[in-house]
Amino acid sequence: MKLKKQFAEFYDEITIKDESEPLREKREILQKDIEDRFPDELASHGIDLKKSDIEIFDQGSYKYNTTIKSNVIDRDVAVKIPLDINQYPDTRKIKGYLRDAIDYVAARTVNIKEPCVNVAYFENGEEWMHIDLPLYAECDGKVYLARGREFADNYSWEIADPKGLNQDLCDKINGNAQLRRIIRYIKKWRNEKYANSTLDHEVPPSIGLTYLACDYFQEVTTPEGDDDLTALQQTMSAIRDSFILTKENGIIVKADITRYIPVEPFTDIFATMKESSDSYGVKFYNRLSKAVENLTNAVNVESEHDAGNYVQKVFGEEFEVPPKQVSSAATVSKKEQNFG
Amino acid sequence: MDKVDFVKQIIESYDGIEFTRENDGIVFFQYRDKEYGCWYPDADKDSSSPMLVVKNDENYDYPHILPFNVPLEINKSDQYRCICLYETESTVKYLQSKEEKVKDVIDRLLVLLSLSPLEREREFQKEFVYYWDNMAENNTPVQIYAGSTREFQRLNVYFDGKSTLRYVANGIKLSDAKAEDRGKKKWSHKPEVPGFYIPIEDNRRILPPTRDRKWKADDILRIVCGKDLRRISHETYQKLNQEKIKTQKVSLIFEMKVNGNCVIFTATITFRSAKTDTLMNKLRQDIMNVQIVKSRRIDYYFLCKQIGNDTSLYCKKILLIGAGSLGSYTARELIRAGIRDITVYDADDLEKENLLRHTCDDYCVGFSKVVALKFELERLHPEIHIKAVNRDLQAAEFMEILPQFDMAIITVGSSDIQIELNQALKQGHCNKPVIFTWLEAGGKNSHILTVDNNYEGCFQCLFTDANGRRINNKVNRLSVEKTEQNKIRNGCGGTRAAYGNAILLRTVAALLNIMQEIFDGKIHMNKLFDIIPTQVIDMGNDFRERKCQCCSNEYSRRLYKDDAS
Repeated sequence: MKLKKQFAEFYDEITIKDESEPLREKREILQKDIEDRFPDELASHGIDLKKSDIEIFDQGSYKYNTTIKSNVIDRDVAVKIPLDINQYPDTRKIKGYLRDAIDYVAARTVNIKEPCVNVAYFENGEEWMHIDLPLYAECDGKVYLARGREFADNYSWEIADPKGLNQDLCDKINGNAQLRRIIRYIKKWRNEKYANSTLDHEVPPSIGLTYLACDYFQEVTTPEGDDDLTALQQTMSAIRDSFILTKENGIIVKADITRYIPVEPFTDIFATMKESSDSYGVKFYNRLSKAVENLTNAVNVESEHDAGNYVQKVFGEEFEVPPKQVSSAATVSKKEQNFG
Repeated sequence: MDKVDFVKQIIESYDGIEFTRENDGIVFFQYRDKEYGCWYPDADKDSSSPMLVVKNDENYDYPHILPFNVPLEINKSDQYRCICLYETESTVKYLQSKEEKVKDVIDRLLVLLSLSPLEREREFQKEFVYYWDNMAENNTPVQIYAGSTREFQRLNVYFDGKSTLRYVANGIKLSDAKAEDRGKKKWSHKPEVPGFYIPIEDNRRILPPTRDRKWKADDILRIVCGKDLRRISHETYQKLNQEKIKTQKVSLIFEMKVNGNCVIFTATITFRSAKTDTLMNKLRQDIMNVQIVKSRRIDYYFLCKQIGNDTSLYCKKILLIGAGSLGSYTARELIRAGIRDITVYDADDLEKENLLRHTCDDYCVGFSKVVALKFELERLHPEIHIKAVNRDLQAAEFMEILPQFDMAIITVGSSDIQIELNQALKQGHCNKPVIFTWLEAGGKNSHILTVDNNYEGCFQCLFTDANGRRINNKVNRLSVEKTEQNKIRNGCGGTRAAYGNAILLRTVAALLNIMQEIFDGKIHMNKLFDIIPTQVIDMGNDFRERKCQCCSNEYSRRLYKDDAS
């Protein structure tokens, strides 16, 4: 099995196991602020909300433990309140009230984004963390996500099941260590290849990659342990093969991938990406194909050093290439084995 | 070909490396933007190998390039630093040809110079203590007794009034704590600089200080409250937030695991004020200076781990009966194997004639053997506690105290005492494991018998034949005549068996393994082991006699019946 040590070290390097203390503190303060101040803010607009009725829970990678290191810490925390959405159909206003409730300290910059209220933290002029607060309303036994930007014409309460989604992913990932690693590797590949992307919806979303990894995961173990290189190569290869391609004159002009959320609203995770531009799907497919090509080469070459070089093309410098073994047997036999 | 030409030729075979000059046996070459020198001191000696230096390298923040200069060219202002490319005794140089050695050193240099930032971090962490100590100002390392618990704690601080500071974890008792030096207490409590042990869970981005990169407040804050990663546990973080500080200085003793090894490093923090606040607040807001301090972790648990001892023995308490030759060797090796708490019974004094086969030194002659043993063993490490009882252990007392111990080891040579203790053990139904061990005269054979009341067979079985009749120890291999020949009489009825010291070493070696197997639950019957010069023979439990008056069921039933009536 090739590159076992390098994959293990790389995984340790990219993994975030727990929130850092400053993040935890900021999150806890923010949650307390939401509980303390959101009811008053809503009350000033004639909406009755008890502090005890606010439900705040984890969403995203921190919930199912697939977080990876990134330049800006990204945390998703869901806020759910009981609300008659028929009486208050304008999600922009409710999100605005949440923003107003928490936007009173200089340390935070609060903005309304399409699916959430975004709370960013800056230090020395640079953002070091943001907490996304998707806002849910519980109405007649159903849960709805507040969608829409502050001044957008399109806004709605979209039926949702955030806890069902959490549960579905936890059920799929928990207890499967290799799958969890593969998800993190794929997310790291995405971050590496889309590091300079500035276009909205161009970057494949984490939740989409996570579901694709779960769907097409190929477990590979050997007597020496889990073979992450081959598992990753096979999984990414299977994901690539699931694209539907449209070609014109032999050139790919459209590459669609679809993954429906298994809970309400059962929408396609990649719909926004597809609607934004055909080129985004093509870019996703091409980059994925390149990664598969490199990983396949890594699987096929004999030398660990060469295999490492191929994998480094997928993940960047943080993946360490093992040194070239000129005469490995001779080198091993020259290692000191006696101890006085 | 001369040594210099030979090295030069190999160097010139590399792409990107250019020979520049030769000076005083050193072959210089240019690689990228720096000049290096290769020196092969004793090229004809199998065990020697070439060394590398780098010229005028101002970058101290690079692993394995030593931080000090070596004066290579006198009368010149050029500075040279050695490049350390090998771990000590990592290769057998004898197996490499001269050419291989030079190529190996150049290959290693090229690998070193092409390390990625992460690889450099890993190399720095491997040599963390070297770099740390290099930046420290104190000569005498601070002693750290951290113990087996890897959790945040305030350590007790002691100072010997001269140069040695000790930071001691709660629960660790040091036998020399009350020691006196010229009538004064040697160690005094030093509360002015409280010490805190902080285990690090995630080492990423923790680099040692170098001349280019000194440690400041940010380096401390990165560990205790870094935004990017959680490097300490949440529990440790909470405790840092609870701990109140009233002093202007604190010592932080950090510990992290690097490649499975424990790396400990100490920093003394000076705050701007002595205002009382939590340790975390003071670290966040009030650090004035970070002083690098040389320290060594030297607690018994750590030292045991360093030599590969099984640390499950760390808290075991042993009752040792007999402090003669075998008892002293046993005690000494138990201590070295990881047992720090021994109670030893013996009524004898150490005599000159004992010295060559006793672990105590000449100056102990005339003292009781147990006191001498206590003195000798506690000197090894202050966490070792020997309770010395200068009398024979009677059967009743044996049964009374045995429950306090994890095991008893009986090293007395007298069969009568062994039988008496064995009977007490059986009658008392004590389930603690007991090991009997004894030597035969002549220095060839010795024996170990494990006795646990959960299993059949006892020491007295050895003195019983198949018909239940009493016989002399049937497992001893030496004839009575030979035993007599090896007996030394010293008047007034006193005797000493001649057996040398090799038998002691091999018996104790076997004893340590058997003790470990008992504690590991690997021995599921009472067993006899015969030890001969080249072999330890597992005799199983064939020694057991069904008609043994001590342990046979029939006998036991009768005994209980008598007791009941």
